Amino acid sequence: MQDLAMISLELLQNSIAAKASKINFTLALAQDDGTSTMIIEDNGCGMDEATVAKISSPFFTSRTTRKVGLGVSFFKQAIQQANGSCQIISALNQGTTIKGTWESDHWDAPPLGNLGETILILIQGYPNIHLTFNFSYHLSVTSFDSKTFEASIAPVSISEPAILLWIESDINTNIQHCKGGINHEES
Amino acid sequence: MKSLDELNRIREEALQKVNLRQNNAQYRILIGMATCGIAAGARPVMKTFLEAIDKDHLQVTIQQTGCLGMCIHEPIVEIIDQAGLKTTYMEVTASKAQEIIESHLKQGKILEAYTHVTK
Repeated sequence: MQDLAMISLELLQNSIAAKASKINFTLALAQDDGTSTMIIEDNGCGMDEATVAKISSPFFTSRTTRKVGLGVSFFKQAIQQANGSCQIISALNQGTTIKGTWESDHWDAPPLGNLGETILILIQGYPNIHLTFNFSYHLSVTSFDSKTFEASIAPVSISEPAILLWIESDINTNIQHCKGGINHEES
Repeated sequence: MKSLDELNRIREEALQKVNLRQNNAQYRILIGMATCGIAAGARPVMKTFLEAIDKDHLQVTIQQTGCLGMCIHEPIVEIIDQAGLKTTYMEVTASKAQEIIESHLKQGKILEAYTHVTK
């Protein structure tokens, strides 16, 4: 659970567990002020203040099967290691926004990982969710919108294996282009 | 725009295949994609199955499931046949998934060796 792809998959699955129908996933790397930001915004059931206060404890979870829940804790740890901070904004029935900002060039800045695969897994499991993904690296931007995409391939379903694999490779290629074609990650 | 042309080609091909698959799915594959599954390597396993379905036109559907409470044995893959018989493969890797595809999905032979716990 070290890279942003894995961390974000956990958080995106939280949004789905919160019955979100729309999720906006934004990742802005190498911004002008030397920071990077990740934002996941959903229209799910939201949380009350007391829950928000407890959420980053590894011993808090809303499920009943087990007593631990690590998604938010891992996110917080990864961000804090890179001298960053997290914010969770939520209210009951008003969705949740989780945001982390960290130093782009910090030694312990989390690596990107395979973000295309994260999107693939999310769409494979939950093809009806409206997911938008906005990635930027300094001034280069790429984005993906699951509903726009699905409309463009209709009547083929977005969860078709060949389509999913295409989305993954397209997103990863676009991310690579944004970053100037230099692969900083282990693939 | 090579990649968009490619998408159009994929789309055309998919149109032919979809109806066939939905009406005659021989197997339903459930892959544990909770935190434990993903941490143990369920992502490459899922991709191996997706690639095989696409490449070999397998008549199967894939679904994601949550944690079964046997996290130490993740990634766990369950294969359910048309009669409802369920085979549970444990500690699956991409290469084991490939073997499962060849043996179980293509020839109907259950790979007993991978249904046992080894650790």
